[in-house]
Formats: sequence, C-alpha cells, structure tokens
Amino acid sequence: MMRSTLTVLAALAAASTVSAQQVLEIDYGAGRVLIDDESRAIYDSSIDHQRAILYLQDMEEPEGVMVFSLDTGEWIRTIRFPTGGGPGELPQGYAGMSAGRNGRLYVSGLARVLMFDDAGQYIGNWTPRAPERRGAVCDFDGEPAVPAIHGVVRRSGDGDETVGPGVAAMRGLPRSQARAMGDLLWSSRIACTPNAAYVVTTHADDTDSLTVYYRSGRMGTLQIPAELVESGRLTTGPRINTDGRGNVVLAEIPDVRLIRIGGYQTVGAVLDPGSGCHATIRNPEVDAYEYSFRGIHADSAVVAVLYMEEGEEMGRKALTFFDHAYKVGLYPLRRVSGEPCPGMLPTVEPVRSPGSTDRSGLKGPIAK
Amino acid sequence: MGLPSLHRSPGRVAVGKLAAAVNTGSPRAVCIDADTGMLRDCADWYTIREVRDDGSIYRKSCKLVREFTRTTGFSILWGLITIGHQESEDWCDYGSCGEMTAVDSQLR
Repeated sequence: MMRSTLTVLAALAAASTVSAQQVLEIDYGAGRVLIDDESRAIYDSSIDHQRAILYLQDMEEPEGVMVFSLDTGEWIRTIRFPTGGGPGELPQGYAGMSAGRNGRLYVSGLARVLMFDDAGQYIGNWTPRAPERRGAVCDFDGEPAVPAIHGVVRRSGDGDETVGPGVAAMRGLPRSQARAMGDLLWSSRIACTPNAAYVVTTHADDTDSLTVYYRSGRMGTLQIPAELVESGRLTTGPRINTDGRGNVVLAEIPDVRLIRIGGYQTVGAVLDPGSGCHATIRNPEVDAYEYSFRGIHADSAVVAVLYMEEGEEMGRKALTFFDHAYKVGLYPLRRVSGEPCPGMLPTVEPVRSPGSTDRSGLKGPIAK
Repeated sequence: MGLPSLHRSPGRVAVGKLAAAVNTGSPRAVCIDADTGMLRDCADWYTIREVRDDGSIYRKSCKLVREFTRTTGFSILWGLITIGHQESEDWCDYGSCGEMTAVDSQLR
C-alpha cells in the first residue's frame, strides 16, 4: 500500500514539475488531403505509425475496418468481421479498435477482441476477464489489453494477466459503488506503450489526469494540460493515442455543447510521460467543430473533417455538424509559443508570425 | 447492420423518434416520442441543439450506431472469485453524441 502511494506521489511530483510547454497550431493552409469523398461516413480511426497506415471505420462497411495508406491516401484493403458468435465475429458488433505492434490490428466488441495480422487475416479472438466496455483496447507490449477494475487485463498466452492492483480493490464495495465502477469502465479509454498503459475513465466531466499502469506493476498518474482540461469539459473526449515514439496523444471529440462555456480552441495535446513535458494543439479559431483532430503522424496532425450543413431555423442561421467525416488530411503543426520538448515533434517549426497560420484551406464558419 | 430488436423487455426502452430526440440543452436528456409520449425503439438520429449568444443555432447530429444489450454489474469469474451481481439493459448507441438506456432515460 505504502509503495503504491509513494509511486502515485512521485508521479504527481513529476507531473507538476513540467519542464517546458509549447503551443502548436494546426496549419490548414498547407498539408495534404488523403481522403475527400462526400459519400464517405467515417467514424472511428487508428494509426499504425510504423507502417504509415490509417484504419478507418466507414459506413461503406459497417461490419469492417477500411485500411488506407497515410503516404498516398490509397485504399489498401477492407478487414471484415460479421456480427455473430463465430470465431471471427463480434456478437454485438464493432465498438473500437487499435493498431498494434508488427502490423496487428485489434478490433473490439463489447466483450470480445478480434486479432488480425499485418495482411488483415483473422488470427484469433480473446475475451478478457473484465467488465464489458465500449471498445477500449490497446497493444500492451505485443498483446491486446483492456481497462479493468483498478488495472488492466492483458492477454498472456491462453490466459489473462492482470496489471495493477486489480480486482482485490473491489472487495467489500457496496453494490452502488460497484455499479458506478462498471459505468466508468464502460466508457473508459486506453492507449499503451510497450511498458505502460494509460487509462481515462471519467472523461464525461472534469478529467484532469490519466491513470498509468506500468508493466512492472507500478501505478501512477499523468496530468492532462490545464488548457485541454478546460476544453474537455462537456465533451465526449479525450481519445487517447500514442505518436509511435512513446509519447501520449490526447484528442478531444468536438461537441457543440461547449457553446455554453464560451467555446474552445485547444483540441489535443502530446505528452512525454517521462518528463511531463507537453505540447498543446489548437485550431486556428474557436469552435471549429468540423475539424476533428485524431492524432499525430510524422509530426503532422491527422484531422478528420466532419460533414456539416448550413441552413435556417425560424429565421436564424443554423449549422448542423454530423459526427461522421468525409475527409481526412495531414496538416502541419506550427509552434506559436514555448519551447519544444526534447525528442517530441522534432520537425515542427515556429509560426512565421504569431497568430497567423494560413487559414485558406478552411471552409465553414471558422473560415469566415 | 443486423440490429437486434429491443422488445425483449417491454417498457424498458425509452428513446424517441428523430423529432423527439432533439435535446434542448441538457447533456442528460429524457427521450420519449414527442407525438405519442410513448417509449419507442431507438431513433435513427439523435441531435444536440445549442443556441449561441448571437442567436445562431448549432446542432450536432449523430446517427444510431447500434442497439445493444449491456451487461452491468460484476458477475465475473476472476480466478475462483465471483464478484457482485449481473443485470442487463437495452441501450441505443449514438456514437460521440452518447448513449441512452430505457432504465433512466438518460444520455451518457
């Protein structure tokens, strides 16, 4: 107990002594459009940094994941997994996915996780001994892992390996608290590096930190930058990813409910878990709901552009943002202020003049 | 998509059709059919609506991703230990707009 407390305190101390911070802005006037097709309805996404592959869940194939090249935007293949109870099927359909090591892809239902190899071939499934969840899965040192009760459950051979204090912490809890714990796990999110799993549970309200479960058994906390915490209020974010270099990437999910608190501009962050050094990522304007930051690849922002309609309602201008995207692009980041973190986003350059990233590539309300 | 029927537990499904599913502000909305007041199957769309200070209206519309049955509680075998209880609820999943269940008619 004392050891875990000390570990948490040490992690908190590290997080509170952030050595540097930079503010980056997405430059929509440059970059490269990978997909631009209004017939598409893109929802979820995951990035294989090593192979420069973008996995997309598109309604062209609701029971599948489409695979695109991040270099060319070309469609490579579609990986299918029918709804059902068979070995390569998901009983209640798709819930989430994560690109894994060596070209693997993990596709999660509410309970079962399907595993595919680098050629998109089904290689097996795994049902972790953990409460149901809405698709949270990651590659934890070469095997799939999911959030669990005060820890993470990782596939290990033909069984499960629990990382973290785990189920023992549940003993004696009243039923109401057990139910509340189940709700948190249901909507939890996870990302992993080879030696640590990063979990967020309370993302629906005032999340200010990620819980870290190390392979060694230690446990810690990683603070979310204050600007992103503020943006994250009332959102359905953040998603958690990595940048393929050991850094954690957070991406807020746009939500028009933010209007009530004055809008937001910070859409994501990159955090060095070792030093606490971080970069915050923002759009050029507030309330750019249609520009959904999804992650980092090759020091650029991967952005999905959501479908939007302009119209009128009782004589008032009405903008409707849909939660599916028709366009995906790679856009460069420009440093607006601060100093770069060592080894993080090494090719990002300062903006030419502060507050003036090129906005000519934008359309919709923020372009006006 | 081969969605299952939500009529397994009559009276427990409480999501309205599109017109009724417009949330007027609260992220935790009660959703029933505005025309009939009856509890209905999952609507095809869920829309969050907000009015800005300048009077313009912003909406976020999410298509029904799926209907599903969620197992809640902790009747999990963990080694030799069986923990807690087990219940199930029918839910409507609206992706990044959230989810709804009939039990408390709330969007999460």
